[in-house]
Amino acid sequence: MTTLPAENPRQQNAMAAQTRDVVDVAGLTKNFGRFRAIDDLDLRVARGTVHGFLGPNGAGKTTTIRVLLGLYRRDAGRVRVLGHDPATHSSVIDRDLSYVAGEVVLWPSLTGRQALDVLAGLRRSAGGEYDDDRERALIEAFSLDPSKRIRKYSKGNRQKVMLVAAFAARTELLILDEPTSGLDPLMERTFGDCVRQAVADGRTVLLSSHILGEVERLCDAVTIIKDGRLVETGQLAQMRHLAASAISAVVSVDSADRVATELGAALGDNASVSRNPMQGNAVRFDASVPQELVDRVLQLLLAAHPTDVRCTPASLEDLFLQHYRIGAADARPADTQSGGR
Amino acid sequence: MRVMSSRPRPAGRRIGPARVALRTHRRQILAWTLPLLGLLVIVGPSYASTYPQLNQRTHLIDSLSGNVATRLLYGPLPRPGTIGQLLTWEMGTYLVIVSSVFTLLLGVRFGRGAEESGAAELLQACGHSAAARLRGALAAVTVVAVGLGVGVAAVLLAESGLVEELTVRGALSLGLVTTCTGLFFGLAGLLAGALADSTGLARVLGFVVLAISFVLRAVANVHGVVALRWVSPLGWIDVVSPYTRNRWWTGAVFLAACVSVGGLVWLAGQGREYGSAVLHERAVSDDRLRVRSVVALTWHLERGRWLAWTVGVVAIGAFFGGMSGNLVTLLEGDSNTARLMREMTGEHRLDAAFFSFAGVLIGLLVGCYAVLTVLASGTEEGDGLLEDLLACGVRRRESLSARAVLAALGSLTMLLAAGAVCSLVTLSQLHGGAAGRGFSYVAGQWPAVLALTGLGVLCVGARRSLGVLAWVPVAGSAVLVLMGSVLHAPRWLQASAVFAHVPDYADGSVPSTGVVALLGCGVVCLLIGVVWRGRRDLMPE
Repeated sequence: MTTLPAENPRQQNAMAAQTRDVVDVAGLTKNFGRFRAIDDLDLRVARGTVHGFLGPNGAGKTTTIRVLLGLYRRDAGRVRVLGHDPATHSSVIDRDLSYVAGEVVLWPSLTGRQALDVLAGLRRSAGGEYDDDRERALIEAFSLDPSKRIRKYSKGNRQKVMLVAAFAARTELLILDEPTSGLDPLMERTFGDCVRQAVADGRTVLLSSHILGEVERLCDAVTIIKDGRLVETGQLAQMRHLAASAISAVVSVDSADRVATELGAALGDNASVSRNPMQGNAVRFDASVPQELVDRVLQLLLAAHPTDVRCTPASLEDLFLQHYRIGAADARPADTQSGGR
Repeated sequence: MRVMSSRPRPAGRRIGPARVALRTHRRQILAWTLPLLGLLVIVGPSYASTYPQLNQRTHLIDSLSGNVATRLLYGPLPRPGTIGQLLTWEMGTYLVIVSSVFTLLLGVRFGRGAEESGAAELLQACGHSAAARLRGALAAVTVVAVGLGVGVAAVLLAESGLVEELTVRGALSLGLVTTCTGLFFGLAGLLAGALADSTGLARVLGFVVLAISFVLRAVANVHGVVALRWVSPLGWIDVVSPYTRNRWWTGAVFLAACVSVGGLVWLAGQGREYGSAVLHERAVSDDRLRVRSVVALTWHLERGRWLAWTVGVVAIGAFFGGMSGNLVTLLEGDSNTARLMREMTGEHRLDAAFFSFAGVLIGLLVGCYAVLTVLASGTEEGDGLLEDLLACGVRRRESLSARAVLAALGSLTMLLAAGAVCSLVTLSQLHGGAAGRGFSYVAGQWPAVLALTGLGVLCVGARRSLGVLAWVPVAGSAVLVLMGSVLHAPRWLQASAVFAHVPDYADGSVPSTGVVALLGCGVVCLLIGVVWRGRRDLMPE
């Protein structure tokens, strides 16, 4: 196969975006002194999708994002953003990338309008493109008063300034790090609309968020990391299918002990069952059941003639908490050891 | 995973708002007070070693008293001119002005600054009411002002055993007036913070009070209006008159004035809603900002600071120009001072020695401006503002390069303006090439400032936290060039001071090897620093 050389970096970006993943990270490792913040991480974000990037506090999400932006240099692994290595071509990448940081800091003496002017002017001077009409529409959609000075803005309003600048820029990729933590529910909805519009325009979004409902609504795929390591990644629908389902059943008090014993036997070491007494001589069992055991658990519950049975696929929150609990359980013995020293 | 072992805290330990304010600002407090007290330590013994006998100072005192510029800034020099009187006259003036600026800024930080940063909310969340926070701020300002006064008195008391003419009563009087002046401006800062809706506006209000104070004292000094010294807190030092009249009882009057201002602070704070203010800056604007480069943005953000520095540096240039006539006459008739000046500057001609000295002081100030401008790039990196720029496709090196360009060109224009004004004012005082000498010695410090700029860029380019090292060559050069000859430092060591390499261009001298080395050092360090910043991890907080 013959590859024709692109005339300029912008064309290279366009070609790269059409031919491969917009973000392609393999075996990324980043150390700060002796502390390993990211350990052999893989991350792939397909073009034209919204990719959720999840993890508890301190998991390494922001560090990963800073490597993607070229703020941090990796210690090992391969990183490509829009087909380029951010360690050597960060300015080429950043021209076609919009970024909203978790803690938005802007120039306090400028007004919101002036800050937007600066962000647009610098992007244009770097060879990027910016849509003024889109900016006006976004200012209205986010109900932003751009005439106020930044120092008078709340956190949410500072985030709005950056979101307006990010969505108004004509970029291939949006990297959004906790972009809605300061927004009210109405503005969160507006943000969701903007993300959907961006994807409809062919752009790609990497969304780091703690608001799992938001990720569930917006994302096609998610990557969950913990302690700098990949925990799970893939299409959200597929992950839900593979994950444990939540089963709830209400049975009579007389059969409750038998049901508890049978559930324990069926689920074995994976047992995550809670038993909650209810009014009217009834007991409700809530269990998180691995996909391969759903059939068997439902059969034994039905045999107890329950008054109510519900089976729901795992939510993103269940997925996240499941990994978080496993991580915490794994860490506990080590904690105890260290603490005993 | 490692579990941190924690020592149990002592039960019942209490931390009040005043302690929080003092602890969170301890670096600023030390950064202002220690150099000030350090300077105070060396001034008294320096006078004593240069002018051990009273009759050796007669010519100096006559010359200094007859000059309008010195009279405006320092006031009349008390007779007969003991070491204590000289120290109060010169160092005392610096002491009250610098401590006023310091406590004013601190007062604003303790009041409005705490509300802006959210520290006040944090205290509220820990159960400290608005009244308790206000009491804490008042207490913190008082502790700083009293601490400064005690420090001044302690230094001078310690020296009273070494220098006979430094009396105990004089030391206590100067400590007292330092406390009164510092307390007044600290409280003024708190009051301005209660009235203004931002720290910026509060500082402006505070500095207006300081400027009025300065003008009132200057009028009192030049025209002899004694009553104005009572009205101006900067003139209180003349009323107390340490080492002359030692009127320590007037301190009670000044403390009463401070209590009144404290009462106003209390009244302004009572019932005030969190964050509310009477005076508002223009918070709304439809102005646009069409910038297309980081240099243009940096200039827009920094032009106010550049203008303030330029006005200050030019005023000092005018001051030196105004003093030139009398001081050169003084040097011609005072062999001690002339010898000291020649040793310090390495110049034989007395007018060259004087302008060389003036150039060093102005160069030192402009060097501080350049280093501050460059180090602001490290602050941008820590705050996360650099991320905003990089996310627009700006190259990693551009922010630091823009700061370096601003520092280099800003300092050049500052030195040219100060040199020109110094030269123009000198024309009314001296003839025969002195005006050109005034210009060339001031403007000739630019290679030194460029070298400091380059070293600053190198430090902050290598690592944000290393930025503080940029002050080492500034402080080291200042000590070596001003004190090197007195301390009998080796020649090569004195030559390492960046300010020590300005030839007498007005005499037809050409740039020396030192000048070329400074320019080379500045450019090379600047380039290395900028490239280094482009290659290392950027470290937001």
